[in-house]
Amino acid sequence: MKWDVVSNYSEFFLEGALYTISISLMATVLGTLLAFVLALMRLSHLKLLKAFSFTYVWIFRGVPLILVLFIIYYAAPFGIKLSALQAGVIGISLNSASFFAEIIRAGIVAVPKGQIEAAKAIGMGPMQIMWRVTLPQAVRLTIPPYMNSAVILLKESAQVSVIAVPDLMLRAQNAYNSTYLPVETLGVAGVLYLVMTSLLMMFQSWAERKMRLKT
Amino acid sequence: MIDIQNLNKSYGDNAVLKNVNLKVNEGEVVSIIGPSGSGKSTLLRCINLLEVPTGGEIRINDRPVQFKTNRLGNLTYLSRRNLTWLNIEVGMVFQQFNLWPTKTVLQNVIEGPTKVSKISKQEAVDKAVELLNKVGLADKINQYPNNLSGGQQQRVAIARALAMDPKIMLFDEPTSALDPELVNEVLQIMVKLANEGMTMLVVTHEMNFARSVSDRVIFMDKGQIALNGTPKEVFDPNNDYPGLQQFIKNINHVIS
Repeated sequence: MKWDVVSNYSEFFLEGALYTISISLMATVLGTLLAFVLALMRLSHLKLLKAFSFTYVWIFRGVPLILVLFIIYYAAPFGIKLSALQAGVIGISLNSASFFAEIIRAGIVAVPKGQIEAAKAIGMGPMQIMWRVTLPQAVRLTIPPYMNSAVILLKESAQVSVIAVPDLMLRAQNAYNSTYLPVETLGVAGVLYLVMTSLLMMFQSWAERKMRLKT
Repeated sequence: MIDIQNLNKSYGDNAVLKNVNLKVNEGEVVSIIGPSGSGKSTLLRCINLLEVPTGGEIRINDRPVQFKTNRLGNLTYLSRRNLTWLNIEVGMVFQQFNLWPTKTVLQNVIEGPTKVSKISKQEAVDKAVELLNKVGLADKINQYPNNLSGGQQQRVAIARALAMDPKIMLFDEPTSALDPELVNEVLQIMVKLANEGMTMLVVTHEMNFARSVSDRVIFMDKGQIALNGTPKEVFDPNNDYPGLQQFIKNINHVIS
């Protein structure tokens, strides 16, 4: 183990990790918002919205993320030119929304009907019921699968390195290419990824404890 | 107070309510009994539009319940918004309590007053404390529903409904999901309410309640009101309406 290599590259790697974190965070937020809309569309009674949501999930769940990234970065429609970072965030958001949408839909559907009826019976409107009754219970139910997807998203964000976003993965590759020391470069990157995903898992445990139904 | 005319409800070809007519006067306590599948709960749930009738008219306090449905037979968004008054005037208590498990007892009770009637939080809390006192649960105010027994949960559910200041209370088999020893605590609250002059419509299998507390008993059979009379008339052992005596025997667990 050549520690001087690790220390020489430390700032380079940490900057990469910061990229990975920002991309993942932005994509999680955007992906979740989009997924929520998709889930509501899927649950609506309007056939058109239902079909749109179904088709979206069908396509984006079914094609590789790397392909989506290529299309958005190199062949975005309407002559749109995006930076690598923008393309990366948008690509991951679009991709992860298809997974999040199914999870959110399952959570909403799993809230017992009686809960909603009790809210209707005191005159709460559809929006109030969604925000105050359905979602608090759906969130609790969906934490494990949702966090599972969030961890996958963070790891898969490494794929933005193929469109030259200087994230942790790309920097690890660069460092390896100039040193040919796999443990000190790729190994260190692996540890950093593990630290980031571990933080997410700790957050999951905390959230589950926090949301446990109190007795 | 409640005036139902020619109420019909069907699911596809299955007619659950057939031309039901019912009038309930202010302060009256009406028990609805009948075999399972006879349409008791559906009738109750049509009154506050948890089920959307397929036909007929409902008037609450002389105000017609008007609504439009979409092609799936559900209320339109606008109709639901325009019927808030109905849900404020008519309170409902469910068999399964349906308290919101993510909210405390107090939060369950003040939810409607603060979010629907839009009264101030302080006012709602004062009211809730008073109501929880009334149902004997003032000490459980900050507990979560899962920490309460079934009987306690149902009493909270009654307080939650009363918090809206309803003029009419609907009870949909309020004691059917309770352990037998917990039934009484809920019935006692209902008797208290009845004595205070609340207009009540109660779907129940508690024949003692129907007999001794209600002003009127309705026996439903195959989607229609078969009998509608005083407890004395309906529970008359000589009443020879087909199926009635057998139903009462079944309810009372008479083993022959």
